Amino acid sequence: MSPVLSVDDLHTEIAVNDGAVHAVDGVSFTVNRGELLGLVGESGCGKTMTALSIMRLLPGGGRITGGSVVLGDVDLTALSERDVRAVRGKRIGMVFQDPMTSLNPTIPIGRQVAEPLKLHTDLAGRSLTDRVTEMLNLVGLPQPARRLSAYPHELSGGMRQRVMIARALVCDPELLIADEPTTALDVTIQQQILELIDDLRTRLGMAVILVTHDLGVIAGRADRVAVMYAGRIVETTETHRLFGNPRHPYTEALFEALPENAAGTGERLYSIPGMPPDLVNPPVGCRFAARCRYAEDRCRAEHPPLRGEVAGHDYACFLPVGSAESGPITSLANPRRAVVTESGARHAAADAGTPLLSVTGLVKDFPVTAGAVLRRHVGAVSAVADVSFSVTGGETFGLVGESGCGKTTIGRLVVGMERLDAGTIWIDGTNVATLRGKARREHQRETHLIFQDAYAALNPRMRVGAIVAEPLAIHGIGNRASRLSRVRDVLAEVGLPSGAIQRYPHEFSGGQRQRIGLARALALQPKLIVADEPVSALDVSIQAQILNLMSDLQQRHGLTYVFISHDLSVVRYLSTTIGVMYLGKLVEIGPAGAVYGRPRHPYTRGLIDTIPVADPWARRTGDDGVRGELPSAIRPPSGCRFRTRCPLAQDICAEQEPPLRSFGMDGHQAACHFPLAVSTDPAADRFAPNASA
Amino acid sequence: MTINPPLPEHAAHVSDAIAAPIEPDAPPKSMWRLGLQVFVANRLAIIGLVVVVLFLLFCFVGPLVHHTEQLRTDLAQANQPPSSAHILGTDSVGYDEFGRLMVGGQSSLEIGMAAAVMATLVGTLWGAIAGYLGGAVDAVMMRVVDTLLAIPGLFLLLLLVAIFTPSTGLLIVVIAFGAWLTPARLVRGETLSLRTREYVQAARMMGGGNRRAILKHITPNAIGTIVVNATFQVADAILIVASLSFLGLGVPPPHADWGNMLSDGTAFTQNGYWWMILPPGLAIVLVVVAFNFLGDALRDAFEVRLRRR
Amino acid sequence: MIAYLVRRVLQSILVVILVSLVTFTLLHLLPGGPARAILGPRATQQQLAQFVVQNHYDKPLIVQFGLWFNGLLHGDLGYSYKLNETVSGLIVDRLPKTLVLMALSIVVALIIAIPLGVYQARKRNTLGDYVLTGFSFVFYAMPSFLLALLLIILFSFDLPWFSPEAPQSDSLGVILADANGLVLPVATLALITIAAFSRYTRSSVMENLTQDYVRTAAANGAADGRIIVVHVLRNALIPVVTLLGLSLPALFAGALIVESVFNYPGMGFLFWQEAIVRDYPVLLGVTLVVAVATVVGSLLADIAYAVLDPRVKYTS
Repeated sequence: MSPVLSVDDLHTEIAVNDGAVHAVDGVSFTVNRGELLGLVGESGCGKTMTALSIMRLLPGGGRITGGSVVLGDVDLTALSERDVRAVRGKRIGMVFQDPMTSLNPTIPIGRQVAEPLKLHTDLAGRSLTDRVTEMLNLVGLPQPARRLSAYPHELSGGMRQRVMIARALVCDPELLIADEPTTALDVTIQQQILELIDDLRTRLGMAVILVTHDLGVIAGRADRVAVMYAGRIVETTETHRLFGNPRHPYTEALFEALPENAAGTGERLYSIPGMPPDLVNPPVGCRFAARCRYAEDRCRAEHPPLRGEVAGHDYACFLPVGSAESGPITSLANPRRAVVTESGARHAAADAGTPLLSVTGLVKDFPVTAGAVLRRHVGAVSAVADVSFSVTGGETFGLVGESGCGKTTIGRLVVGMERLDAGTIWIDGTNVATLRGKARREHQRETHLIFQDAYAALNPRMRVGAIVAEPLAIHGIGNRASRLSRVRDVLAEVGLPSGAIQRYPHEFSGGQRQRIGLARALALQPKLIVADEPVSALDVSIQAQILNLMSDLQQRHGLTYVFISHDLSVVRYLSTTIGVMYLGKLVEIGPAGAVYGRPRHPYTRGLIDTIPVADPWARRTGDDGVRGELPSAIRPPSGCRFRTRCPLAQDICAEQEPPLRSFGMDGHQAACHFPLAVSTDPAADRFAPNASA
Repeated sequence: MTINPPLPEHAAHVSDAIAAPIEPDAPPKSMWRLGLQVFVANRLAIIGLVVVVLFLLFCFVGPLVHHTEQLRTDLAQANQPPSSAHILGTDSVGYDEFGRLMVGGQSSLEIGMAAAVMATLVGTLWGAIAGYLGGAVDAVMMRVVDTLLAIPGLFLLLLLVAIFTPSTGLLIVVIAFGAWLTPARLVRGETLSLRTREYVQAARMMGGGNRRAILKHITPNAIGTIVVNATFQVADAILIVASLSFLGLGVPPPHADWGNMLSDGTAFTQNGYWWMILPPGLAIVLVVVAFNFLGDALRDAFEVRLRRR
Repeated sequence: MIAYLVRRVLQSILVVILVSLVTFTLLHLLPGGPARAILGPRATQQQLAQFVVQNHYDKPLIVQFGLWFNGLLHGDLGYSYKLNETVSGLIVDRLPKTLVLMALSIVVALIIAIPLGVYQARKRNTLGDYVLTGFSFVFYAMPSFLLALLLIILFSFDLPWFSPEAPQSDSLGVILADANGLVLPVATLALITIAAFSRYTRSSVMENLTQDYVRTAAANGAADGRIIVVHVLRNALIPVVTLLGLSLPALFAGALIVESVFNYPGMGFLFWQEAIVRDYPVLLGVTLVVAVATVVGSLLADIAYAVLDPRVKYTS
């Protein structure tokens, strides 16, 4: 059976001011019918450029400079623009990352889905509409006939992505290219979309190329994987083989940098030193050599070819890791073993003394106004609804949940950026919610918030030195000399050279900017730092660097963190205690290991089940995931707010709001009328240490 | 192909690969240096700057060098085409056109620049206060702006001139009165948007007050817009002065101005006395285009911070 | 959307009331007081006193404003002693002519500017784009009267194609019938408008061309032409509608100058003539009418925007 797509030695360049970026530098792979190939790598590795090259949709200044892309029997690189257009949308469909911006905001979705049909087929009128409706049905859009005239902004993120998929597949293409199709979506929706793509693949018999940076997504869905680095493929093989026996040091390092592999072990993440090479003048030898812990002179002088001893497993390395055995692979390579038991985690003093932060009955509503002139108060978004928790000094409290759950609002309430409507916030013995004026300002020294978007949180017109010294300046501490000295100290602590003081934020990379944010946070030696999605925008290897840094700082200074994130694996790695939020309510709270290993709330279970785990052997549930869409926060469901999506919901869930109930003596609580039973089967716990290794 | 798809950037994944790491040896550049670099690299900006400087010299230093009679008319010499005695000929009452061009330029440039400065100062203050305080204050202040904006500028100005018959000084005030509305709107918009930026929120989170937010964070980031707009204001003001003078309701006689030189020349379009029309017209266009070039170049220079190096 | 529109209409009404307040204030700032300023230096004391009583200038200001505003609503905009006609009569006669001139110019301008802007966006940074941008700059920098003069010199005297004077008549029909006389005035006003609109269209189209939805359309196999016409224009032209609304004041001002140079018997020409002779009732009346026209125009532009952009319906 000949492959659907065959890419051979593809080279793509993008012209820049002084030269050209060799974004794709000699990439070859094939995809067969019904197969899902994962194209994986961090930003800048060339995976998206490869995808765009296949479609010949390169941005301005980009062009294919060599190689071929053969679809069936046609070399796409040799076609005229006109002939390529006949292929796009008809034989190859493409889905992009952000469905909001990828759909035309001023055209109803029915017409947008119909567009490929109009361009490539003779369908018109009734039969056109029928085909569109059929397709929308196939992608799981509820009530498609009624939605044909809807505009994109009227749909939720998940529904929009379904529309995009419908649009890409409406002409029954042979190949689907999905470029980060779920990155912009909530975890529970992510799973639904990936399920959909998988399902359609089998039903329509397509080949699929899934481009992503998320190893977990690959592990669950891909048949084969190609790992890209600096414009080249460094390793490619069948999924289980890749995860079970990686040969290339980069692949190995990526696995070791994943927080989920290190959760509960107390060990540092492996963070790959340095940065990817400049692709305008790429290095002569192996491109990973500069950052590889095994590199030797040969690696730097000569480029290793992509080949392997075992059929179907190729890698580009002179000094590969792993073993050359060709037998079946049955488990993850080097799974981490939990060095300490779950209940006695790294920060063992879970019950030591009075908590540093104690929040009770927190309520925050955001008013919604409508009306022509007078802007009547028509309702309120219930962002935080009666949340209570406490955090011991020196610990990390992980606050987890999807968009709209209120975790960010809680973070802002804690540091005083929002005023609460009800409840108390005690920090180190003081009820900060009641403080005003000078006392409040004094107390603001004890807390600090780190923003998700590190660039937006830094004044682009201020030098780094001034930015980091600003907290000192605000509170009138020290003089210029002493402030400068303090700035130098904190910059050193976060791993930035003192030369950074004179520079501006735009001169730094994303990870470096987050370090600047951390340095600023440390300037006043606060007791509590709230970190709002601090690593969500960073690549895995950079993320590892920052997480290690945060962990070090915590140990050195006895810091307390409230770590807010939607990414459970990151939260699990760093946190002592975890709180799970849904639509303004705290649904489960407890020690990290307990919440993860033995979740009691169906939502927590759903979240855990839907996180893509970088383990192809992990048990994956098909149907137990969280169904449906997030309800409105203005009129949240009565009783238990999760009931509209819960597989276990009964009448009582609508009538009575479930209180937090304790399970065991370690502070594990969940708010559910029908909490999950704990299974004693270790295989049921995906995160239990792998006893066999 | 001309339709270029956007460069893919995983919005959530900043490319650490593209941004260069810090080179420890390269000296840091201040924002002003960077901006200056961009500005200087823009050829149109240099042309604009040169033209403006030349005109300033021409109008203010010129008369000292090239003396002409601009106060007493000499009807015998009226309507003469260019000759060795009069480089650009004479106008309908015998004044030397070349000399008049210089003197007229003085009025245009003075009034234009002064009005622009005044309008920018007033408008910026108004807009900043409205944008920062928000709420009812903002609503009231902006209604005032909306109301005055509803009256087309030229009508308002002509009306005011008709009522008050201003001297040159008052004319500047009148023109500024029409012009302050645009910077007010602009600065209010900037302030509103900057107020919600994360770095402003961060300053407040750390305990900073309004003063710090305005002085250290909002103003430096709004300056670009303000300066760029001020430059365009000069261009607009010069056009307005010229229009008012052309209509006979601008600079009071016996002051010369490019506008009223043109209106003099209008009477003679049929006769083909091009020297009464082209020189002042060309002067206006050149100066205004020059200021527009400057404004565009300044806009680019101030956007430097958005460039990823 | 209804809420949005209701809010805009109420806002507009408020602005109109405020504008009339401004006009009223200016009335009372006239040199020598309204009576002296309107009747002139040769009016006798008796005439002045009579005038004051007739127009309620002796009453408290608030009452005056109420009466005056009431008069406005009934179409009483004052009386021009210099022309011996009611101001509203003059305006009713002249305003349609100005509006026709503006309408013709806008239509011509849009027909040319939008394709021009699209062309420039597609061929950005090529020679064609630079040349056209250069022209835009020059036209933008040129005062309308200068442009008018140049057009007259070129096309009326050097090349005697068109008339240097606009059609002179009281009847709108006769004016419209004289196409030759209308060419240069409309061309002048249109050229300057084209300069601004083509630039704006260019940048709006360029901005839209970099949007993700264009990439999706290309990925479906759509050709450049289709992408522009079907996808980009409907997004790129929405702000142009807003721009149209915002340009009304400038268009009125341009019309004033064009009418003055070409002797076109419109409201702008009237305003200019009466400004020179200080005929205050006419000046105040026209100012008010022009302001109201601008407010109505920009309200219509906003309504059009709300209708065209589906996202507006759902924002509060």
